[in-house]
Amino acid sequence: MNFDLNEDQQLTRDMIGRFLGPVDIAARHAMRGAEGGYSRARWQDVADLGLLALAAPEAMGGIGGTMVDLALVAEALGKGIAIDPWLENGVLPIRLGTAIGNSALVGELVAGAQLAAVAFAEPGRRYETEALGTKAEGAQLTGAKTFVLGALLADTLLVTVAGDKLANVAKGATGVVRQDYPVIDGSNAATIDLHRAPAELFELPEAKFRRVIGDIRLLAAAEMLGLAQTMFDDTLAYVGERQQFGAAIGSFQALQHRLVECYAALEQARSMVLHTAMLDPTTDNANWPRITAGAKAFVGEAATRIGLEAVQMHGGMGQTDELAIGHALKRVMLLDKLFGDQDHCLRSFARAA
Amino acid sequence: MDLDLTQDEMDFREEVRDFLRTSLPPQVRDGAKRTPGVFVEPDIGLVWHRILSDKGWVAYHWPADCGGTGWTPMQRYIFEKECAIAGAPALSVLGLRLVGPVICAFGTQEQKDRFLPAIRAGTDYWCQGYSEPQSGSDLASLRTRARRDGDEYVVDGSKIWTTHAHHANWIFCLVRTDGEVKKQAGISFLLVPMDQPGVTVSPIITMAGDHEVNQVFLDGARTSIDNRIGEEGQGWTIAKFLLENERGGSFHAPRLIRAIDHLEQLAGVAPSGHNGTLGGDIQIAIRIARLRLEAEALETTELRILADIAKGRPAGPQTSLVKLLSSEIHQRIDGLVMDLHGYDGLQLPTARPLYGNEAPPAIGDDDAQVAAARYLNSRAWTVFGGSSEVQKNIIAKTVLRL
Repeated sequence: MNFDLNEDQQLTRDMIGRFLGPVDIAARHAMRGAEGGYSRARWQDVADLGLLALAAPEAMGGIGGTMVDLALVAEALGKGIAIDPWLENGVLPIRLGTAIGNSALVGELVAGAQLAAVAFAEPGRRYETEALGTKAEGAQLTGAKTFVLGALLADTLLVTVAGDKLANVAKGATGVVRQDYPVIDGSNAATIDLHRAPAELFELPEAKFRRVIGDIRLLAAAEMLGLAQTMFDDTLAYVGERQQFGAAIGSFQALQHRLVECYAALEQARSMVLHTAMLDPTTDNANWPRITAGAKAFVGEAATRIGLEAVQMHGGMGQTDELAIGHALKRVMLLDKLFGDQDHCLRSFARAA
Repeated sequence: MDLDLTQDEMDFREEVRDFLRTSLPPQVRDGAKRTPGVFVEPDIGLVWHRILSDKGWVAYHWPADCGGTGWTPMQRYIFEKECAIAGAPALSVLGLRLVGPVICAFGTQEQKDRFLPAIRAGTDYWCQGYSEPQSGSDLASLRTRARRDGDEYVVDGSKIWTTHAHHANWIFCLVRTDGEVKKQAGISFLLVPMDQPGVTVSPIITMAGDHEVNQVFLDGARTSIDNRIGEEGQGWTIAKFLLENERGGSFHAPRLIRAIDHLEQLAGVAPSGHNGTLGGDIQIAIRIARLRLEAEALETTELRILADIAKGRPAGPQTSLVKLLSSEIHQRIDGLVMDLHGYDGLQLPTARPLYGNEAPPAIGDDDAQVAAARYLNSRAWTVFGGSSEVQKNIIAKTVLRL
C-alpha cells in the first residue's frame, strides 16, 4: 500500500500549479467578459502541457494516464480554481472519441487543434443520459439538446443520439440552431436544436458511454476536492486574520468546531477520491458508473458544505464576487450537478448496490 | 387559546384582498418575481410604495401620530400575509422600517415634520450606514468619526454593505462623536445627505452579479447638528432599537409559505426525467414537507410573538430567533428551487434586470432563470442584519442567560 505521488505525478502537479499561478480575480473577470468567456490560445497551452494527452490512450497518440493520474490533475486544477474547461471540453470529448474508436478526432482534440463540446443533456430529461429525443435519419440529426457546455467556443459538437450512437456535427452546419447562455461558473452553455443537421455517426455502446460518464463523475469529484481544499485554506487563513471583539474570529469556539467539521469532511472527500480512482483497474464496466456516482455525491456534499461555510465565515466579503471562495463555490455548484446531482447519484449508488 | 380572527379582522382582511386585487400592477408583481436580489429595485419597489402611500397604508408600522396607520399587530400581520399571497414586492425597509420608526421614537417634532412625510411619499430614499470594513459583527467598534464644526458635524470614515446607497439621497449613520468613553457610549446617530462632495459611493458586486450593496466613503461629509437623532452618545441605544426592528418587525413565514406553495407547484409540473414529475418523487416530496413544517411552525412562533406585542409585553430577543430561523429556511427553499430546475438551474444571466423588454430569454422554465442568482444572493440572509452567529450569541446571552 502506498499513497505517495510518483515522480511524474509530482511534476505534473507542480507544472499545473505554475501554469495556474495564484488566483487572479481581475484576470478571471476580464477573460469571462471576453467573447466565449475563454481563450483558444490558453487552450493551446493546456494541450501543450500534455494535460489533454493524459486522457487519451497511447494507441491513439495520447499518454494514457491512469485514473489516479487524471484525478490528481483534476484536483490540481480545482485547487487553482482553473478557468480552463479541461473536464467538459477536454477529457469528456476525448474519452468519447476513444470510445467510438476515432483516432483522427482524438488526435485533433489532444493537440488542441479542435475543441469539442458534448451535447448529452435533453430538455425535460434532467440527468437522464439516454438520448431519446435526438434521432438520426440517415446521416441527418433532428432533436434538441441543452446544457451544452463550451458550445460557443467549440469547433465541433459531439451529440448523443438515440440507438446508442454518437454524432459529430460541425458547429456551423446547416440545421444547427444554437442559443448560448451564461452559466454559474462564468462559462457558457447552449441549447441546440437540430433540424436535419448533417452529421457523421458512430456506434457508442451504452456500456462504453456509461464508462465515460463514470470517468467524468470521478474527475468532477476530484476537481471539487481541489476547490474545497482552496476554500478551506482561504477560510482558515481569514479567521486567523479577521479581528472582531478584540480577537481573531478563529479564536471563537463556535467557529473552531465548524472548521474542524469542514476539515474532517475534506479529509474524507480526499480518501473517497483516491479510493475510487485506485479501484478503476479492478472494477468492471457495470460497477464503475455506480461507484463513481457514490463518490461524486459524497464529495459534492462535502465541497458544497465547505463552500457555504467558507462564504458564511467570510461574512459580507463572502457575498462578493471579489474572493476566490465565491468563484470556487460556483464551480462546485456546476460540477455537483454534472451527470447527476447528489440525489440522482446517490440513487444510482443505492439502486445497484 | 385560539387562532380565530375577530369579525373586524376578517372584514379588514377582505378589504386588503380587494385592494390587492385591484391595485397591485401585474408588472410590479412580475418584477418582484423576477428579481434575483434580496431587495427589489426602486423601479419596482417605489411604484408599489407610492400606490400604498396614496392609499395611506405605506407606513403601517408607524403609530398614527407619526402619520402611520396605527394598525394593531394583528392587522399588520394580516396585511403582510395577504401581500405575500398576492406576490407584492417587499417594500424597502430602510426608510419605512428602519429610520422611520427611529425618528418617530427619538426625533424632535421638527425632525418628524421634516423627514417622515418624505419617507411615506417615497420622495426620500434612505440607506443605512452601520457596518464598516473593520466593524461587522462587532458593530460597536465602529470608527467613522464626526466632529463639531459650528452648526455642523463633519464626518470622516467609511461604511460598507450599504444597500441601495446608489439610489439613496440620505444615509443614516452611526458615528463616533466621543473617542474617550466606553465604545458604546461614544456613538451618535446622524442623518447625512448623500448629494455632497464628501460622499462617494463605490459599488460592490455580489457573487451572482447583482449590484445591491456599496461601500460609502465619507470624507469631510457635512450635516447640520439638527440632523442628529437623540442626544450625542445615545446612538447605541437607538442602534439597538433599530436592529430589533430590522430583525423582527415583519413577518417572514407568510412569504416563506408562499414560496413553498410555489415550490410544490413547480415540482408538480417539473419532469423527473424518467417517469412522471418531481412532485411524485418521494425524496423531493420529503424535502418539501420538511420545509413546510418548519415554515408553518415559524408562522405560529411569529404569531406568539405578535400576541405578546399586542398585550404590551416586550418582543426583545425573540426577534433574533425569528431572524435566525427564517433566514435559514429561506436559503433552503432557494437551494431546493435550484435543484428542481436541474441543469436549467445552473444558468446565471449577467444582464439585469430580468424583467421588462430588455430581459434575456430564459432557458427552460421562466423561474429557472433567477434560481441560481437567487440562491447565491440568498447567502446574505444569514449575514445581514446581524449574522446567524450574532443572533445565536444574543439568544444565548439574553434568553438562555449563558
